[in-house]
Amino acid sequence: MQYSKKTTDLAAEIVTQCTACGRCMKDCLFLQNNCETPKAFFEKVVQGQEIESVVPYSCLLCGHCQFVCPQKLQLDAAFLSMRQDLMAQQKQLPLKALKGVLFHQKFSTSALFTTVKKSGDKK
Amino acid sequence: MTYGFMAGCSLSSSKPQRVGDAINYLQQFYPDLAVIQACCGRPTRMIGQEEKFQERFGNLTQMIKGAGVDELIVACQGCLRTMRDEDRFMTSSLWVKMAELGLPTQCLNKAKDSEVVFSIQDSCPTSQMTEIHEAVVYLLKQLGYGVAKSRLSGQNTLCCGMGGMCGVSNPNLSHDVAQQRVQSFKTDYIVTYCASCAFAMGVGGGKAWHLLDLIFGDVVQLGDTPTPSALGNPVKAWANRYQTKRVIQKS
Ligand code: SF4
Ligand code: SF4
Repeated sequence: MQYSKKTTDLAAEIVTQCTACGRCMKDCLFLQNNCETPKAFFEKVVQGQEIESVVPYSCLLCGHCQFVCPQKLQLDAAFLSMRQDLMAQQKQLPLKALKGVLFHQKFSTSALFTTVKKSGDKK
Repeated sequence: MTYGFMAGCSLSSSKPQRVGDAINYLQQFYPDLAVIQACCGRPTRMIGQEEKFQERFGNLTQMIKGAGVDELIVACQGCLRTMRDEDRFMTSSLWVKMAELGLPTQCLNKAKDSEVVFSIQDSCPTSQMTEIHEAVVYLLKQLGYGVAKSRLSGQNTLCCGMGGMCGVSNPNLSHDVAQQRVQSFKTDYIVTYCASCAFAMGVGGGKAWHLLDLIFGDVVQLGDTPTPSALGNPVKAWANRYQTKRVIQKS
């Protein structure tokens, strides 16, 4: 997998700064299930190793890690950037299940399910 | 100054009646309130389609400006976070607004005889907006409920399990996260101010109420169980979304 410069930069930043202190992992099931340490995980990204698509797509993008990280590292931004690369580089969706999201977003933004009641419009 | 209100997809899909209640409440302070039902496009951004997201958010911005809204009052933390990240119009949180404006008099202390103590599931997109956490605690106390402290709350909150589209891309992990989250609370009664969080807490085996149900609905007593979230039932959820649109048009 060829990651974008943005992803590689974000990953390299984590690799250099992460001290593997484990604070982010303490309460994050996603990290516990998918890596030894963020440092080790993002080393694989920097080296362009194959990582299953479901991994970046499983991060909850909740930002808890950044709040507890002494270095304020943005793991979520790196996982989101990996998603953007997967979307851009693959002809098919990176995960079949994402079809549901496409469908949901199409309908959520359609005229059928949206409406505007302007200021002062009476019933 | 013209105010607008937006409930967001998950609340519109789960509680049409509460969207109506929030509109009625806000109209007492802002008779000319505009109301928007639309999607902020956050899921599009989260799955990695940034360009498509920008297009959708651009449409929403036009809708809001076209409605003459100067400040949009937002009930959904996902929407609010997306809007503040984009910073194209003024926003405020419904919960902060309600704390400032004050609850309807008949709501004050209504739960004083209830022994229920709630743990709060703070929404992760607004984990760094501490004024929202404070407003929610304040509103619960105004209602007369006890509030339990939790290590993983406020800025240190954890996701309910539905964040980042994990519920779609990795349902097993999402389920485990929800379960872990439910078990992390010291009380069996959980309150959320996000309809997705409320749904997730149910998936994780917990009993969770949406804050709007506590404000506008019946007092929760020990032994009560919440109505299951419609978000687990797509047909019901889309029907609700359509129903909410009708509620807005009639408001
Ligand atoms: S953003 Fe992702 S990595 Fe960070 S705590 Fe949340 S789930 Fe874990
Ligand atoms: S908290 Fe920060 S420094 Fe510590 S392991 Fe996590 S990413 Fe590395």
